[in-house]
Amino acid sequence: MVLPYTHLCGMKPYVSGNTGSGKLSAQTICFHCGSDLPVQAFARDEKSFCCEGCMTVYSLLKDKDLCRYYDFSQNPGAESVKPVFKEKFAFLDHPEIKERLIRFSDGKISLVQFVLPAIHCSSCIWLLEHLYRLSPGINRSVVHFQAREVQIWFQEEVISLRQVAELLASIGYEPAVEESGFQKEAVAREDKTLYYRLGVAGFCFGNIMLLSFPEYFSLAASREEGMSLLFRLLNFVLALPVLLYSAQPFMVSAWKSLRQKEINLDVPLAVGIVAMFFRSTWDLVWDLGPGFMDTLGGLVFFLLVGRWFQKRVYSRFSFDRDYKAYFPLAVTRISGEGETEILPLSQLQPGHRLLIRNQELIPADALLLKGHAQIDYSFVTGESMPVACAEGEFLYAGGRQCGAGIEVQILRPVSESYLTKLWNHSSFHKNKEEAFATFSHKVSHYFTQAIAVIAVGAALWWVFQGQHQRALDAFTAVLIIACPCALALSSPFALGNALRIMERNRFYVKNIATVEALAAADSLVLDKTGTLTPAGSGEVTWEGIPLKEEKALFTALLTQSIHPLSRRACVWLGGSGSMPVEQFEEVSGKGVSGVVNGLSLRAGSFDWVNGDPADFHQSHSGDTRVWLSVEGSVLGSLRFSQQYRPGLREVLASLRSRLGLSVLSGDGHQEENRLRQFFVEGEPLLFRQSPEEKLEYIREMQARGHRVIMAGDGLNDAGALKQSDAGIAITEESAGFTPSSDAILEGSRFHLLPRLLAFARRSVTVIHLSFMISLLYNITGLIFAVQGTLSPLFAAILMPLSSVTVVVFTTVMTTWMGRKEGLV
Amino acid sequence: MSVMLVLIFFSISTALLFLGAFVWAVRSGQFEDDYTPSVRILLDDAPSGETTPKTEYPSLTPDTHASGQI
Repeated sequence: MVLPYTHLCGMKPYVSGNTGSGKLSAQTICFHCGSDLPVQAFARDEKSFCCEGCMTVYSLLKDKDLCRYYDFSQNPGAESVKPVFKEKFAFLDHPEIKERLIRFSDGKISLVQFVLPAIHCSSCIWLLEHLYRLSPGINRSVVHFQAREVQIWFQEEVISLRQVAELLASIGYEPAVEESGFQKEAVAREDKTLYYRLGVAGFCFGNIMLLSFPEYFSLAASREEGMSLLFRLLNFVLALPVLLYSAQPFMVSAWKSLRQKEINLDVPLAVGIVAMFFRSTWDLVWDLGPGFMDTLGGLVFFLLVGRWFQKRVYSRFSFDRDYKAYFPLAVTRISGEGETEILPLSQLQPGHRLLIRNQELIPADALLLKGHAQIDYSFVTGESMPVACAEGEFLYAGGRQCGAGIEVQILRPVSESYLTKLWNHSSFHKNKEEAFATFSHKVSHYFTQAIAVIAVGAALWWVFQGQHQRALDAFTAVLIIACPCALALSSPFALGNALRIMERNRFYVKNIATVEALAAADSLVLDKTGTLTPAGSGEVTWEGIPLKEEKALFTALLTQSIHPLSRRACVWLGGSGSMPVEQFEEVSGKGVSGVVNGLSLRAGSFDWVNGDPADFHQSHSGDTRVWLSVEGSVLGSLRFSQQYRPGLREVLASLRSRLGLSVLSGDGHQEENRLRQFFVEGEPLLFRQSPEEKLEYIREMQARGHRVIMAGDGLNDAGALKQSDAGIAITEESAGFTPSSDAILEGSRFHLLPRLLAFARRSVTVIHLSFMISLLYNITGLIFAVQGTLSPLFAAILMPLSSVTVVVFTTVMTTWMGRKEGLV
Repeated sequence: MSVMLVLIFFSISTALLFLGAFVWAVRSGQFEDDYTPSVRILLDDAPSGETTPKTEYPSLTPDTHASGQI
């Protein structure tokens, strides 16, 4: 169960006039979002803010008298609210897209459901359920906290769908709109059936149990004429819904398994259920005893509780996103006359001209027609530096434009782009769940065979002795008591609890089979960009003569350039950059030049700044550097290198003790030397890996008998993540797209990886232990069963007792293991 | 003796009523979100004078996904 209030940052009662954290003089954090204040903080109403975005949201809330937002949690705002450009939600005006998003409409009032990744505390719930105060067109809104969703009823005549999205973005809760959002409905419906089955099983079980008491304890009621028959008949009637409806999932699963000539854990369960029912009916007809319907009801009920428990770990991430979820729903098309219109992605054709703005994705392989293209392919190929492209060059689908808007012409349909070819690779069609043999699965094989032998053996023994009735009793009793209820509950409860503990540490696992796969692994393959390095990070170091006034000059020069390196250089140089620049020139791939304050400046590659190779020690050819020169004399260079995650060395050291490590990167060799420092001799570091090469590497390792975990973050890791025994996708922000994987780890918790894997291993040990405990119960019961002296009362007590023992044991043990790893 | 029959009849009927209530609760979507309501009740009501949300919304068939709670 989720501990209440773990998500809440600190509740404060509503007191009129309560304005939040501390007095002005003590304020060191932003009133809105809680991040550190910069030197130049923004202020309003005696409160300080870290940025204009936060201040704007505060002002908006103040105007609408919604400042109680700040009372329920401390600094509840989202950090770094990204300003949303005007056209961002323009595609929501398009009727085709509106139709897909609006769940229900009766002409006057419409219902839409948005995913808001920024929901994280009780203030969020309060504010989002008071949206009606922000716009008269909104009637009502309801938040589903764990799914990070909000349902909004609004009048389309007063406020359009697009305006609703813009409103949400303006208060810091930008909706994430993507294709895969539509798949959630099927899952929700399935959940309800489980509840119905559980309800029926519980009802029947409880009543059967009560109706069995008179016979168990030989009470007066049962000794009366015909009463015991009545009770047994009622039990029979009550057991029918249990057998025919509630137990369906197990019977169907067992049947499917047998058809594939396999024995999974549901097979002995189904056999036990059927044995219980027929033995009890037999006993009813021939008046031999009260029957085992009580045990039957209890068994099915407990098994369903186990299933329910597994499902309760609510995941707000989708593990099965395919590449289509990465793309926007619509693009901006430029028609013949130069006008722009919104075009749904499904209608995109080769030959269309599109406008791709800053931070927008290129939806299909295209040709650059106009503009400065700086394409960030890091998600697609793993290259850390954006690629500058000239007009007429080819642009790949999936790249993100960083810079002013560009005009492109689509060359191939979305379905035929380079990305799609990757996704059509055979490894994507393999169903990983069926391939992995969990411990339960392996045990059930031997278990079922052993039980069959014992049952038949006992029956034959009694037939030998001439006691046929006893033989039948013994046969059915063995099947009944050996029913692996406790066994079947071990995995769900142990791993279900483990999943919960992992989730609290921002490690979201798809299902319990993945935990076993993580525990069984002996190798770990890591991606570099985005995995070992936080996304968007980087170090800038200056190597050369100390700069003083030159800094301001170069800031002025570099502000004119839109190259990402120029921008990062500007940040490092500081200053206002307000000096006028003459004769500015930017040559793609080389550098920029211009005249500032009468001095001719150059910034860029070594050749560009007219350096004399003899004067400077040429650094490793792969380094990313921006050289600066004034009037032809080189001052030095800014070296851009990637920052690795803090504590990476220690993390790798602990991982190394159990797993073989290797790195596969789509990036070039420029970081090889630095990366080598984190790894030891013999651990492969491979660069310039294409997505197919990554996949092949893993496949090769598996062919050599290794069990591989892959950790990656981009689309170029998708194939490898699928191929590996367990794929972990690293994500920086909960809103971001993650490729299809078995687990998702938040980048900020990367350092927990060794502990999480150790915890997975320990959890599997807990399962082994609880199997032993349930076996002990089984053996105890078998002693009586083979003799044919198993009484229904004994079975009815043993079964719940063993189940409860296993449930308590696994929950307590996994929590204790979690504590030992420092995860709880 | 006949008392037993009457008692059994009534107890099973009552239990069936509860089962029916459970099924109704599941159908109306009350089990879809079992976390948010626990937080929602702790958010204080405003002092009187604030507006409340409009309560007209399309009547929901069991197939749609809204929990009808305030």
